[in-house]
Amino acid sequence: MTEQTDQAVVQRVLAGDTDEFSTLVNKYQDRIYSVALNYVSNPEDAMDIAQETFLKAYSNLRRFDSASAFYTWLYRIAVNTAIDFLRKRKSRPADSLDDEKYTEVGFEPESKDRAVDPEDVAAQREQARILRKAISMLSDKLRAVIILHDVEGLSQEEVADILKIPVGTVKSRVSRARAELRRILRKMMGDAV
Amino acid sequence: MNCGKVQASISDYVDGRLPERETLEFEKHIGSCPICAGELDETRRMVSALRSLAVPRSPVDLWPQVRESIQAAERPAPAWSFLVRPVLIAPAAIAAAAAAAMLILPLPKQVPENFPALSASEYRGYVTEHLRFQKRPFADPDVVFTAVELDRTNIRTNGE
Ligand SMILES: [Zn+2]
Repeated sequence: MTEQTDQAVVQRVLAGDTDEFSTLVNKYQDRIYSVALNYVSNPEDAMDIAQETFLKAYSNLRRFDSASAFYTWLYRIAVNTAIDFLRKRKSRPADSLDDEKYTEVGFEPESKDRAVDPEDVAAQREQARILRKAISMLSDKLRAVIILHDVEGLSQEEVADILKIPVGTVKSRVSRARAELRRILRKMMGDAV
Repeated sequence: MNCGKVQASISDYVDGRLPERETLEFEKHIGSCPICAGELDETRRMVSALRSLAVPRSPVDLWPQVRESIQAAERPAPAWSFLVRPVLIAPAAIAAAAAAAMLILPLPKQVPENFPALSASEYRGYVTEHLRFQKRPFADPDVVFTAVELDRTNIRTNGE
């Protein structure tokens, strides 16, 4: 159902109704922003990447293959845009990931009902910072499956669609990525002690 | 199932993707092997921590900025834009083009007589844009004006 709606919106945009594109931006901006933030760990850069993703989607809308779902196409653009961004950033000093202020944003404590212990919040933020740093150390291939599957909670079938790889490959990459991430985390913890 | 096989299956087990028969063997082993049980526990905790990294919402609405960028890209180009067409040229031509460009300084207040039909303000827009590019002929060799183009538009303020 959702997909038919997206397709219909895409058709209206292609027919010349630019403002209809806002429907798609409003619907997917949170998910695209989340992917971007987990790639770059910096809210401002994440916002730029999310914006660029929608801009690319708009200007390439005619090339969108309506046989696939619009959102998987959008995710693919976001992943590629984030990877391009990181490649460009490599040429300048990589300070962003170590910068404490960037990890303050975009992390919500799980419970809002009971009083939140500030120490818990601090611990959770620190955990998020460490995890994002560990993710940034994965290869492009493994990082994509960790962010899409484990962070964003997409199914292996959806990830396969986004990355244009077989489901079996996603499954084995998820397994490898988790093992690799645990190895990195153990090393980071070991170094910290 | 031995420890190696069990540990290779942990990821699938956590995702509920292990076939039923293997699931039984897996759980049987976990029940009697504290090492594999520990690995399973650690993986589970990591996977649940990863899920908490997802951000529930974007801090701002992206549409206003996206719409602005779309409109900027689709805005019709000014009347003189055909004159400031950036061109790709070979590095050897850069020096020649830059030298030719020197001829248009300083910025004239009137449209030269034989210039294509443009208003004075359009002409000034053209020249300003031209100068903007000229300031970085060596910094950005992809965007320069060719001598040919300058000749065609007949801007010769020195000789006029
Ligand atoms: Zn074991």
